[in-house]
Amino acid sequence: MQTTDLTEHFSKLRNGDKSAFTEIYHELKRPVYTIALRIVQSKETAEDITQDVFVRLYTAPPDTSVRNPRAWCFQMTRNLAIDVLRKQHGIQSADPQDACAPIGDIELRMDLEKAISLLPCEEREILSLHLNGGLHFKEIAKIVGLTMPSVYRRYQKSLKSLRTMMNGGSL
Amino acid sequence: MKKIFAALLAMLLCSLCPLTAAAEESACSVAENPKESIILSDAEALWLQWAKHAPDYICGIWSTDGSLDRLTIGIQDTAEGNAAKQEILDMIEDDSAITFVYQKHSRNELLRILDELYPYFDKDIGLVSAGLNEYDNRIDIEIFEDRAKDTATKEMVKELEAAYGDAISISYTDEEIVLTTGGEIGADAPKNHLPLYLMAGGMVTLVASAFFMMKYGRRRTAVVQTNAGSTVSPSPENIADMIRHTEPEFPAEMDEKIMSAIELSEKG
Repeated sequence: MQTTDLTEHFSKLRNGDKSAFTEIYHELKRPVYTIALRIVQSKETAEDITQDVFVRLYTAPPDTSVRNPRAWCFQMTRNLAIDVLRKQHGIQSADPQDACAPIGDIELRMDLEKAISLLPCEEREILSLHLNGGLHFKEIAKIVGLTMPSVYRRYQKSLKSLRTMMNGGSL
Repeated sequence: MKKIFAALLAMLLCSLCPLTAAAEESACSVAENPKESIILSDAEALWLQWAKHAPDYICGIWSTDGSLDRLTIGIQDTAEGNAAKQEILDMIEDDSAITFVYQKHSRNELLRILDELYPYFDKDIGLVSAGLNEYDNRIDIEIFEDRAKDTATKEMVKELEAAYGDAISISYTDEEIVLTTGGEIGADAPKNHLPLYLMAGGMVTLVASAFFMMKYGRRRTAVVQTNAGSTVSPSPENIADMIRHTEPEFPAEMDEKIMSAIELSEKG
């Protein structure tokens, strides 16, 4: 679905056309769930976040000032996921990387999902927002509050780390 | 002869399609405004991207050591060019791979001049070659020495110098582009050299295409030696594809759960 189509559906939803929600839901449910899961690394929590995102989206769709509703939804997903991690870890820091799980040595030839789970959560969210959410680095930079070059460097670093881990190395 | 082929090669590489394809594969995120939104992993990717489209403040970009790992970038000594320095450094991970020099003419301007020169090849006025010389920041043009005194040729030289000034450099040569493919081409060489240029161009294009196909046509895959034998490890691009295409399964019961939650929220 094109961004313009999605914007139209959001416009209809704002005007009370609840059927537009179904279109939006089917378009965004998988990336929203994937982004949440890759950040929080828990299926149950990712399900809760996904539900929360769509309930909020239904009850209070983004207003007309939101130019990219897709990015807006993923930002909400990411923020909710980070909030959950902060609560889980009892960390008050504004830096999401502080809430990341510790990284340790891993076994040889681990699978991709396990390797992703060992990345810092900041890198996981960038990977997922880009590869699963289809957002550009510029959009991701706004969401995570970093400069675009920093986002890209982290993205490249995460791919290199994954490659190292999948080759049997450690971070 | 070497100069002629170098000039031809430069001219052809400017419009070579495989470059574009390679650039698209190497550049991770490419948007309309290259200055704002391209971020690249290394100097090679930057070179490939700019082979496709360079910003106007770029005058030239060339390798200093024969590889594409270290590059010199010519920029205009303007506010925009100077401001772009840091942005260029931010585009690639290894800042030390880039050296800047000031130059006068924009690369895009030189390429436009090169385009404008093509019609002159159709005229019988002794034009041998024209090519982008990024190092000297100009278009190098070669004319047959024995045609230098022809009125039409002299007029063309005047016209070009008036139009492009120091953006072009005209030199004279007694060398022709000759292909020795079995038969000899010497005294009986045709006066219209266009077919020869096309043949030479075609060969250079084929060689260059083969080179770029070999270098960029396949995803690079590393082979890792372990005690258990050889294993093939995925490239970063493969990993990105795997992540993109292996989304976790969306739980089947979620649809109902979410719709129920929405109904509840409506009632509540």
